[in-house]
Amino acid sequence: MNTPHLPTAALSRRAFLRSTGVGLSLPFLEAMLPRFARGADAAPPRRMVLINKALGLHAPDFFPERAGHDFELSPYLKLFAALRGDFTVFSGLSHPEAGGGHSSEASFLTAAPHAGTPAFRNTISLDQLIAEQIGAQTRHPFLAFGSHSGSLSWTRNGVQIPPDKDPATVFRRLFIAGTPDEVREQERQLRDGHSILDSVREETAALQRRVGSGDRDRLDQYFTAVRDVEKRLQTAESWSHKPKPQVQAPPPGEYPDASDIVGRMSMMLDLAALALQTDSTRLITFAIDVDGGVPPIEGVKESRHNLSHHGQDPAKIEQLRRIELAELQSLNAFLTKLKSTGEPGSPLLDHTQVLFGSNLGNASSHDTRNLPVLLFGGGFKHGQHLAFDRTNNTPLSNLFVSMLQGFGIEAEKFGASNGTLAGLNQA
Amino acid sequence: MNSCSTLRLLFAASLIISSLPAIGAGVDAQYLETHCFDCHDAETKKGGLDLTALKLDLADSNSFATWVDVHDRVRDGEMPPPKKKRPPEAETKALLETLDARFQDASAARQAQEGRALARRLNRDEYQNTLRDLLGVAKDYRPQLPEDGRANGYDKVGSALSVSAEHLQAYMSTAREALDEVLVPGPAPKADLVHLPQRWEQRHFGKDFYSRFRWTFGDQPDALVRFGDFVEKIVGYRGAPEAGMYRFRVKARAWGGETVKARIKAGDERNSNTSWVVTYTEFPPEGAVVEVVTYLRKKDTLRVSPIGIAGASTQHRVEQVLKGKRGFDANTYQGPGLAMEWVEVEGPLHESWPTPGQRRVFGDVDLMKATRTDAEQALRSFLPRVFRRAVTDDEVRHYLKIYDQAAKDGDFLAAMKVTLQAAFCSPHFLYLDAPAGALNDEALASRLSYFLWCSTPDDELLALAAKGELHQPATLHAQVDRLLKDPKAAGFNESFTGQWLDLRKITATTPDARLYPEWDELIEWSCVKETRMFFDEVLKKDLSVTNFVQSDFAMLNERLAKHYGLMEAYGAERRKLGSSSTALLKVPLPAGSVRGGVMAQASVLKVTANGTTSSPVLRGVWVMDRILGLPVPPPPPGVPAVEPDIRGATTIREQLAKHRNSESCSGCHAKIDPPGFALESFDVIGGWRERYRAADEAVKDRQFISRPLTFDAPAFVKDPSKRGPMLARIGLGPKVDASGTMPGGADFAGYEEFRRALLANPDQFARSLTQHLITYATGTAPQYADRAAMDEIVAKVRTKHHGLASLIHEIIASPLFLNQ
Repeated sequence: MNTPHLPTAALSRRAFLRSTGVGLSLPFLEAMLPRFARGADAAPPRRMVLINKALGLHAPDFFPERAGHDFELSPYLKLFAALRGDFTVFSGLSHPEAGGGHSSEASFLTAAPHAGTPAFRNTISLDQLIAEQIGAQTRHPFLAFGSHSGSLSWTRNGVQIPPDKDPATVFRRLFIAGTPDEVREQERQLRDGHSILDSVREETAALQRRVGSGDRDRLDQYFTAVRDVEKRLQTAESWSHKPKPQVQAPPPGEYPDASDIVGRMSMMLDLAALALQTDSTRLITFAIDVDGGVPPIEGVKESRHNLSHHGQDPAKIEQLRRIELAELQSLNAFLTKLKSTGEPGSPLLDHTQVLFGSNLGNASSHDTRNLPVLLFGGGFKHGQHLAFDRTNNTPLSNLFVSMLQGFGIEAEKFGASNGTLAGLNQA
Repeated sequence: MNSCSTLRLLFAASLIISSLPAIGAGVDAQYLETHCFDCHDAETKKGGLDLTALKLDLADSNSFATWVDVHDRVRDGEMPPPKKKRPPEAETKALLETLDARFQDASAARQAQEGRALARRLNRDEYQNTLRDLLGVAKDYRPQLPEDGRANGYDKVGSALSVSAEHLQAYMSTAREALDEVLVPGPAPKADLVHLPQRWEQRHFGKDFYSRFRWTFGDQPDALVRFGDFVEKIVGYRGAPEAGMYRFRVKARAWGGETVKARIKAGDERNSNTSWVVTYTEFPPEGAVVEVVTYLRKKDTLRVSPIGIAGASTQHRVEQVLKGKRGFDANTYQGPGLAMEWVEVEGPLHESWPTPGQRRVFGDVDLMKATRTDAEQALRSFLPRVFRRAVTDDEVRHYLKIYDQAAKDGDFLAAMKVTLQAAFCSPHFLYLDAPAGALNDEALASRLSYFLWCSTPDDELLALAAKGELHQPATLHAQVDRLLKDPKAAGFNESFTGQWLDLRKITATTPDARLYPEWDELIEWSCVKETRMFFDEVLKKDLSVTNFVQSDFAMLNERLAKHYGLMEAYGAERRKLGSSSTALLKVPLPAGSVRGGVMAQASVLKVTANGTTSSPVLRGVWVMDRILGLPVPPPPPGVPAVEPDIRGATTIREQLAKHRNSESCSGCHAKIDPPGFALESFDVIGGWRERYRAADEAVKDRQFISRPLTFDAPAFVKDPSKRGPMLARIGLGPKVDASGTMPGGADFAGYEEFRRALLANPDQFARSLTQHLITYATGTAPQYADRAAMDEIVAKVRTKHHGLASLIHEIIASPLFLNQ
């Protein structure tokens, strides 16, 4: 179902902006659509944001000790005190046989085992699985952000989708109408694209008839790629004549230096909020990666990667804490934004699942078990610490199955799951 | 438990499962039950292996691999483990023979049917190099393509080189951009030459800058003197007017006595993420002109900065800064510094006009007047280069159709660009493939050039292939020599050493500045060069592969020589050659040196550590795989990793002891630990250590270490008391124990004895390198049926003193290389 963008608003844009008091223009929120356009009882669209922060979180500061609804806010979770009813913290989750230390970033959203080994083959990530199911309802079927080099999004045949890592470019793509020249150039590209794809399709088909079975599989991939690009061109064409949403937020400035993880994180999350608020996309992944230097944070003198290998040195752990608190603060600002926008009584966060976690449970020893995981919003009953066995971890994929179902997708299984996640229910 | 009949059932089942020639009965199930099932059944499952449930289904690659592992462990006498009862030798022999025959049959049958290697697409490096050689592009397009996967350690293996819509979209847009870069109608663009005298001029720096950084440079009548790394800007240069190649010349002299080292960087001045080091160089007091040619994008700038000069002046500067910046007179300060006199930038440079790429595609055709006949001619001559083989008339017609379609609403060049764009997205361009069996000469030309150049075959290779002569042994041999001598062989060196020795990971970690203050950018740059030049030296001189374990020479510059404590040997060599301190020279090592060989090189020692600690387990696994060719399986699930502790009370060895002594771990650790322990004598940056460095401030025992050559100004200003002194006091932890026991039982006291023990078996390194090179060259790891051919390669190279170039020749002459 495409959300139609009709000009006659139920809630005028100005009135809306006055009421939110934020300096953002949010013209396409479903609240402003005439009731009939959405259908009287149609649920608001569901959205999902999936974030992996490489290098873990210092476990003693993250995990609460008590399980259940009366869990105490750990030093890190104190930051989210105002959102206590809007999140669940999990302990004792991991991907079985993830392995691979840092390489396990690749499998955070895919659950493919044995990352980093010679035989490792990745598979489809949670967001791409959903994108396959819901199709192109928005101008951008998904966005895959990355703070450095990689993204969390992987195709079905295990190809990493290159990340968007330039905020200014993303902003232009989302919100800025092209000049007439750019539009003409884009139209030319689309036209050329079709004839190139026709040629490639014809050649691949001819080649496929000639080769052995193993090679045929490899060419099948190419065939699929041709079909997928064809679809993308069609989507691009269907959106090319619709105006892009206008926002009042200024375009993002220079992307901060690679060492400024928190700066990069905040800038990308600001964009993520804008993208969700304007319904430009409903799926966002964000890989917050290994860094390149000393973060500009008071009292921090070493790089984050270095500090994660603290070797129990208290001076290093103290610096690590400062960085991680700043990172979580940035996340909190994003969540607070989602909580304070949307329909009255139905904030955006209620329809947006935000998963925040790490592929490492203990970065100092590269341990991939007991991952720190938080789930915010998305219509679940929150406000609890769901504690699972710290020795025999529950598959993180069980949470993914619950999240899929929460998204309205009939899924029974994902990766190594053996059910949904016990104790996590829809509100 | 009736496992005997279970096994028979399994064998019966495997007959049905396998689509390849039937695996006959005859495996001694009684043997397995008597000698294996005690530990490897469903209940005990030692090492994660349950033999009772393992199907002998050789069509399944996982099952096949496990069985091969079983076979090899029994063959090597590791299983059953030494303390169990030995099975009668005749029975073991019979079992091994049966398994061997089956494995051989199954593997050979699969190869005959499908070929050893599957079709694979070009990886990013190959794609870039191919565009470079076909079109003459200067821009690096690799960052625009999705990252490649790796299998069996290399991004050359088909199973890891998937293709998706992301790739195809990137191929479409990249091809277009590359064509736009090269096919430019009209007269040659003018190359500007700007001459920029370097003087202090406020308009180039701004007021604010002046007050903050005035103390970092001196203003001389003929030069701008830089005292540090803080201001790299070249006075008056506004950036490249267009993307392209630029010649950059700088005239500078050392200020204040000693020769000064400098870094030349290019890229986006405002964004450290998109700038790169072009080179390191040095300037003597009498001055010198240094010239580099580099690619610049539009608006990219160049920067020059002295490095390593803070040392002598620090105390003085600390005092001055504390007194207030005004108290410091940069103009009378005696240095050290770098006095930059002038800079010249010339470009964009064009090798020829029209560009070489345009000439290759269109010959001398005037693009403004070209016709459909020219289009057809261009396709007939250029498509064979793109597809690396002769093309059929039908194929030319196919592309002419695209041209005709596009020419309806565009001019000649626009239509040709779409047509070529399609060719560069064609599976015939992107895939390397050939039918099972012997490669034809065209496919051989491609395999050869993508192996030794990491790029497309040139005219000579294709001409020999067209004549059907390339596969003739003498011709092939001569071509291999030619390819190895060509500068394009640098592509092989960079790609292979980048993966075999993990040099691609050199910047993955930053050494802990408190524990390893001597690490700096120059050594990071130098140590990668060292390993690459070392590989090159072994290859060019056809030296024995044992040199990778121990050599009597090293490739060093001054920075490396300091790091390794080899200043005397290096100094002697440098005086002879009179070279710059940043250039790497071949230096004979003094007798008894621990250096020589890749395991004692800083690059390898750094990539096998994490910047703070080194783990004997990780280094041991690395040496097993890369040097000895015996990859170690990952630990069984559920084994916790050792938590490093650098406070100084315990060593990693003590922490590991518990883990190692457990029976289920000791099997693998008997092999992993010896190299790991031996390398404990090297710290995380490749320095030699007698004692671990300790982070705990309370550790009393301390040692002075020189600070890095370069340092960073803002931190210096904020906290001079900590940053100022050029010597750091490092806490000393426990003593290093680098002793161990070889799997054969011989004890070694440390790295030198370990190395000697390894050298007893040179065949082992030849076999290891053969495995790695076969995987790299053919895109497929050695399979069971390849064992005989591998043995033959090793036997032949033994008669040629295990020379690396000889090994490459033998690999290329072997059926493994000559067949798909």
